[in-house]
Amino acid sequence: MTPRRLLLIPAAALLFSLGLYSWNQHTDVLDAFSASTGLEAAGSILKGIHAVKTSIASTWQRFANQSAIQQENEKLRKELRELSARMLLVSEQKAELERLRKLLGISPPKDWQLLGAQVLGSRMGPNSPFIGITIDRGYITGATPETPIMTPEGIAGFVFKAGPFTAIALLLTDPGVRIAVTGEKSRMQGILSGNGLNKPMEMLFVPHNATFEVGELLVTSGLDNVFPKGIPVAKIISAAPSTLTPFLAVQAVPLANLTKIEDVLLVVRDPETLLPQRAPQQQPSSEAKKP
Amino acid sequence: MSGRNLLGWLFFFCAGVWLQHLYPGLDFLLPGVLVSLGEGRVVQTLCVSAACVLIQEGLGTLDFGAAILWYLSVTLVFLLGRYFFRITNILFAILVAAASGVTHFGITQLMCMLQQHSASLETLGNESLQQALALIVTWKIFAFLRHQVMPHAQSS
Repeated sequence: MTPRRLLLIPAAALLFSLGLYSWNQHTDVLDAFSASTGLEAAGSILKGIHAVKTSIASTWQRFANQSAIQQENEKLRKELRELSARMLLVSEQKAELERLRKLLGISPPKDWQLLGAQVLGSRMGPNSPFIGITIDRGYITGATPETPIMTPEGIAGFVFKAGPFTAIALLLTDPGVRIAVTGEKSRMQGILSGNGLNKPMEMLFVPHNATFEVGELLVTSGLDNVFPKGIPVAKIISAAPSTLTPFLAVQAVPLANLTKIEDVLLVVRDPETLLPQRAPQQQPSSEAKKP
Repeated sequence: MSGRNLLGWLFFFCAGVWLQHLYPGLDFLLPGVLVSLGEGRVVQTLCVSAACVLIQEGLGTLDFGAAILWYLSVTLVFLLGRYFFRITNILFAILVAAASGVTHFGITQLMCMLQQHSASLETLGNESLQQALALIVTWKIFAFLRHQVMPHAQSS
């Protein structure tokens, strides 16, 4: 291969990828295609592996219990061990049941429905610098882009990208996430912004003379037309006048434990109350949308 | 593509996706493209690359294009490096791995800027380094396994 051709290849490759990028920016065709194929294929692999893993774990547990039982000759001891082993299994199931009951115990806001979803994994692959999770619901099963997700404690984030049966959701701590919130007591409004993993969130555009108490809850204001009004989001940990801006420097931590999410609830708008401009096919320009 | 070859690739993709689930931010599908490039099978390489790009773009939160750019860059370094080294040479593996780490950092940073998103430089730097190290190991392991399963698929 001649040096000229060697130079032409990267130039052509760069032009090709820039062309694809620009075309996709206008049409979103490639993003939708990759979500429907790549994300879905990876989601199916993950679901399959999860199923195999659960099955192996349960078989192994049974085998381990049986081998322990064989060491005991007496019938009663054998029964006792069997029961103990079952108890272990049941305790895990009980914990799951309690977790799911807790989720089910939450009543959805008016005109909104709740759908349960399982977390398949955290962010995956080299193209996912944003802080997110992969869930086992897609646009066919209720997880359309910008659907809020929550845990029993409060809002956890929103669906960012969806394949037919798998979706990726961004978590509150991602620096690109913005949510319109209001103080539960003070009723002061602002925009809550993520600052990265394990870092406190920041409430932006709060007037200098606002009075916030440490520990006050921040709830969704509903002004972004993405999150329903009145759902707890975060708790204020500090509020002090800023020397650099005319606004108050307010820091808060999310109520939801974002490092240990196993199940989430999707807060889906009731289809009958959907406004025409909020149809799922459209890309609304809201505060919660990634910049 | 024979049935055995197809099964091998299917297993590779399942293992790669699972490893990506275990190690967030890293790419475990790239070794497949490099091994396929080494075998000199154009159609197979195109199919594997297309599948890898679709999976990475589907799983990713960046706009479409980052994976294509990255895979093209690493492929280019691979093709250029082949003029100077044998594929089995460890220096060649280190060169390609280093290039993959550097390009991963640059392209992710560029795409984040285009999307007006600030990625943590520290996290990105760590992941790029881990990516380079992981690529050497996974590439060599996959090449060894592939040679065991399909001995006739020689590296050129």
